[in-house]
Amino acid sequence: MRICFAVFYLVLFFLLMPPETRAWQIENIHIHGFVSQGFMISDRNNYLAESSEGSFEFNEAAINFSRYFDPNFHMGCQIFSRDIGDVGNNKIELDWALANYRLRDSLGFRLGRIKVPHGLYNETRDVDMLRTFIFLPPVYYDISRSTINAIDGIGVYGNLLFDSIGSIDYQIINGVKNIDPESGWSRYMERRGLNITEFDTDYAACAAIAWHPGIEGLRLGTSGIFLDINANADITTFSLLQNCRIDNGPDIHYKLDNLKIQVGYLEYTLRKLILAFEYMTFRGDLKLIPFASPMVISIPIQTDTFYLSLVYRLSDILEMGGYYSVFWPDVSDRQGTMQRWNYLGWHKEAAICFRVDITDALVFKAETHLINGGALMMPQDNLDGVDQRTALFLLKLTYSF
Amino acid sequence: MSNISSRYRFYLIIWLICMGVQLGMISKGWSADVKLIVHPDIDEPISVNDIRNIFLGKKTRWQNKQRIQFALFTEKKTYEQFITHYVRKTLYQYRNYWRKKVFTGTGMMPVMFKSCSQSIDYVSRTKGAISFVPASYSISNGVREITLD
Repeated sequence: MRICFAVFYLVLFFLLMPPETRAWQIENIHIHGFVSQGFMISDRNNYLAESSEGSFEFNEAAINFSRYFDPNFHMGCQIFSRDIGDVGNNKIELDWALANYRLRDSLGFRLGRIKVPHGLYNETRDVDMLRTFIFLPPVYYDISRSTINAIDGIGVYGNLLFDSIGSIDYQIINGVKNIDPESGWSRYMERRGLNITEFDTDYAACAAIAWHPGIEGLRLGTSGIFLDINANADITTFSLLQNCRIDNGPDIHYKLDNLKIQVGYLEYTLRKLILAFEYMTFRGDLKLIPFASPMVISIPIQTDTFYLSLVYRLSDILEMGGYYSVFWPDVSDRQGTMQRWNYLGWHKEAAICFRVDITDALVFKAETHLINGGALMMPQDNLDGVDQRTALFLLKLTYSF
Repeated sequence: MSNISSRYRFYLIIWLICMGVQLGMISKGWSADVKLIVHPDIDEPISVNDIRNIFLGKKTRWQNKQRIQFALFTEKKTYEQFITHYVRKTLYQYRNYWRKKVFTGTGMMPVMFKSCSQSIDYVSRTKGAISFVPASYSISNGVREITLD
């Protein structure tokens, strides 16, 4: 019943808006934006929000301003806000802000806060109407957003066009990354018993390359993000090993050195059908250094995840898609034998989504997920324990202009 | 565990059946019934691949280094035929391609016109301009029709 009311009011609200995607323009400044409202409900575990009760804490909104000063030079910025469970809380942030100069097809420059072109969807992970699925697979899991969303710095990019081997797009960004201590990454560390109080990154870089070979519809690519993260944290409960833990331990310095997040992908488009596969690895050395002690606790981070998705456009207004995805928090323990319960060692997820383009400007989606495993369930959201299986149902409506 | 596995298998089978049926329904593309027009100053051989790269914003200069200014004629039938035939994307995929650029700061939406006369007028008065109109439309002296290599 609650879902029916939610859908009714959301549809009514958005139907009152203009039916076409119309950008606003003031002088030569182009203005675009979107607003999304979602609803999620799960049968057992709370997933990202208090989903077992049904949650509307699931929205995004953005507005951007861009202007060409010359055919080769434009500047713009986007202001963004979101809420998903305890993360975001509709705090307004500067999503991207950059100056872009294209010297020639093969070489351009960007300066400012630049979105990170990681995998197929990282740049557009917040923009619901540009994809089929409501929740992207764990390659784009919410905890990683604050770490890999954008980099403040300078970038070079270009397209290399070849007659014989197709074309290659590349982009390199070098700079620093600001991470909000209230971000999803903090939530993930909270799960491990660390309360992050301050973040700092020494260095952030990204390199991405995409190849469009002569085979029509095929795109192959790889990208890597390289980060050094420093943080201060309080230990609330930290498990060193299965039967050894620290409770209310000392304040510590948290250092994630040489963090490398790499992804390889393949996308094949056959008219209205799109097949995509991505495999991501997450490697780094986590060092925990108590302020009051010379001891260093060193933990290797070795996380892997992949997904395979299929999307088909049934008509001008209807699209459907599905994916299967697996996430291992510790790839050396895929069976979860080192975990308290084995199923905390993986997260396997199957999803099916229907997307309806009600108008060019208005998109409605319904999606269902079946999840096996507890690797991405937050214990702090599931105080009675994490169940192995979860069914999740999502609705989302997005208006864009 | 066996319950969940059998449930996954069931959904997978349903999904594969749906996809198989839909694959069989994929219709073949039709030849484009459109005319490509350029500013009269443009006098160089243009290939289908060039057209694709121009309308994807990947090729931005003519051989004489002049900036390419492309414009879209958005009457649905002609627009769809052009994008499907020359750019090899569906209209929906093409729109999303540009909207991705808009929402990531990496580009802005192309110039668009709803009428042939506006499109032709733009091409005739803009150096380096290229666009398309329905094949049946009579073009004026201010633009040049091109045939592809």
